[in-house]
Amino acid sequence: MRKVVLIGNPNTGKTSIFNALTGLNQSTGNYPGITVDRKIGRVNLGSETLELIDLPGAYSLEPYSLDEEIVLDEILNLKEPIDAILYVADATNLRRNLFLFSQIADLEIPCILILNRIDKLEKVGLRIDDKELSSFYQCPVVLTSIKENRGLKNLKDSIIKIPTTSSYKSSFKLKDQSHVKLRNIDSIKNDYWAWLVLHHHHTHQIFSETEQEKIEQLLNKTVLDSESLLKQEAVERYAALDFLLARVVEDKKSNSGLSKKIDKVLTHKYYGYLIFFSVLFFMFQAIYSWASIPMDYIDASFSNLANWISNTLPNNRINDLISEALIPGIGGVVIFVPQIAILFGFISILEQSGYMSRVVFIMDRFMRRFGLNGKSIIPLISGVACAIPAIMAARNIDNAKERLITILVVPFMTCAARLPVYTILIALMIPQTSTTGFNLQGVVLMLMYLLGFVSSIIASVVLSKLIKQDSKAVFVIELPSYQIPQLRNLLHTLLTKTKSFVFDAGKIIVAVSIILWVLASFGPGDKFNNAEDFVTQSELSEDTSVYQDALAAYKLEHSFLGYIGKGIEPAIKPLGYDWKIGIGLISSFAAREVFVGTMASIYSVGSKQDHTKSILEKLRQAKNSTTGLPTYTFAVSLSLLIFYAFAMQCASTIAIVKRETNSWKWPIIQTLGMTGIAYLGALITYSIFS
Amino acid sequence: MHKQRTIADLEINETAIIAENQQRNIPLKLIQMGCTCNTKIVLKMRAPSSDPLCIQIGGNYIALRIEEARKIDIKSL
Repeated sequence: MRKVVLIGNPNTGKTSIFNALTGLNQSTGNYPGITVDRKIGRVNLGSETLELIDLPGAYSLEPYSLDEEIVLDEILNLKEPIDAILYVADATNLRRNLFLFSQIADLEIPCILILNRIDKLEKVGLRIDDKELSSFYQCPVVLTSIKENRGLKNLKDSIIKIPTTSSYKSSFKLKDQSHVKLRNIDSIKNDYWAWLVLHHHHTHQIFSETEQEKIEQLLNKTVLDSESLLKQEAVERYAALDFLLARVVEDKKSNSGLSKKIDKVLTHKYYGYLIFFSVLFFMFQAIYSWASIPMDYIDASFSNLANWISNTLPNNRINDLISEALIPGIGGVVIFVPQIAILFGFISILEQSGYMSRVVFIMDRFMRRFGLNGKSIIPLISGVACAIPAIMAARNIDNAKERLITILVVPFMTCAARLPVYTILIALMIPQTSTTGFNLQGVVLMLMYLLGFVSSIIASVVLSKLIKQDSKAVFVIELPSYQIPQLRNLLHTLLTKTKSFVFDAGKIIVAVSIILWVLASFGPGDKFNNAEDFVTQSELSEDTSVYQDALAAYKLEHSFLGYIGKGIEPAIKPLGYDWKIGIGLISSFAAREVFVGTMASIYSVGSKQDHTKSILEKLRQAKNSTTGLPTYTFAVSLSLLIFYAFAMQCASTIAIVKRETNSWKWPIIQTLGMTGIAYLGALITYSIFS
Repeated sequence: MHKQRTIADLEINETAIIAENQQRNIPLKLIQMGCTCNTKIVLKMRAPSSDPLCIQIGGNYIALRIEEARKIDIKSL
């Protein structure tokens, strides 16, 4: 099957063309090592089927961002050479779009130049001489408009007729004689390839070992000032382009008048921020209120399913594993899908419309004070829903250091999983009474959100001082003209992102749930295995469910998990916790919200009673096993609240950080650091208030 | 002799041309975006507190920080 790649600048409608060519016939994978989605689709041309890869948007083959690095990688990957390139250019923006194309043409790989958004070009009364362009680059030039469904048939016809070799002869010439020596290597087919090898042979394994050695030998003692050479290349390319464009196209148009008017409001020094915060406010309202209906439904469905299985299948260990670990584990993943889908939906709309880059523009200076970047604002905000998509959103940050800091501080933000824990702890601390008209519990909850934000900002300041990593990346971003988001693209994004969350994070959550279940369901010795002998059914007159609950609690105490809880008791005693809370903390490392469920089983909440209320009642009545005093005093609850605010208790986040930073170093540092702060914070809190 | 003006000194909607010999002062990424010597640019917006700035190059709006803008000399029209 021929391998064809789709390349182009960001915001050219590349993805729309990809979707139009492949339909739903696509899948997402990951690039090995790095993690930007690699979208592969199949194009059915009647006589043959092609493999089409949608590469991320790039401005140049000289990589600046992670996205551009991927494009270069794909081109330099000679093991699976590219058969043809489809280059998408925004017809209304030829000068800059043809810059990357001039580099692509120099590769002498067969290609098609697609001039997209031709409708917009006509609207401003411009015409491009596509014949002239086609004869200059010796390749087909196809005019398309995805919006008006024009040119797609032409495009498919041209793809069928694509030749196996390019007839364009690159005019790129190496100037330095020491560089020309590279042409002695057979696999380097022209001067431009030699140029790419010259600048990237250190960072890319392009050739076989022997050839790689030969390159080193040839370049021996050659001092390379990459930066200024590349600048010179860019300048010369633009000079040539300006000459070509003078023949091919009339005077250039400017950004549309409407865009200008919108910008006046959206980047205004007061309204700009006001609108931004209103958008945020609306987004969070949506995340919490719209999502609650499907979430309740999912919750109910999974518990019904678990009940059904538990009652239908023969009563044994397998049944328990499925109904007590597997189904609730999967349910625990799926329940976040509505929130994540809504969050991604909003972010996708904001990005496609062009608003996101305006937010970056007005927030950059503020964020920079803390060692972050204007682009960090999106991950930080998304972190309030869930750290996982938020950390993935940090990919847009070019500057490696600022990206790393953003990834490291996102988990401080109060994510949705902390909410159930906070709700119950706050209820324990503060009675549900309103003094002076305010709901005091609501105020404390808001303070916790504030605490999350402030600590992530403080952490960034500290990290930006500690991390010594130079990044050549300068902050230069494009503010594209505003566009109405396309529903089809929106749905595609939603589907692929949600899918990657369910499968990537899902695997870990399910695995940890099973491990916890095993630890809680098995135990050493008599006390666990013959618990019936130790728990006496003293009051026969009472409901048998009370006895069952007491039995379950006794078993949990003597399970492996119970012993682990007791094992860490000395460490958490200074914080005011006993072994039961210890179990809750350990199980929270799967996901924070597990705390509530674990507490429910430890304090043996019967299934008959109303759920949250009964947990609360039981916690209020809970007595510390050594002192006999109530466990959840004000000091203990507050100390727990602080612990949950800081501790990195989320296996999925750890996994995502590992994936995004491509090393175990950062997730380990992050986990130890955050949990250390949590411990200290809780210790101080408990000492002050007890 | 008056002080050499840079992109940072432009008024909103003022048009200017990037001066000669600025190549080493312009970040590579900005050059790749089409900001080369003798190119016409227009200052379109300033974020609150004047940083970053947004300039128009051809049909594109490009934002850059004032730190970089101060290094790039311009010729007024």
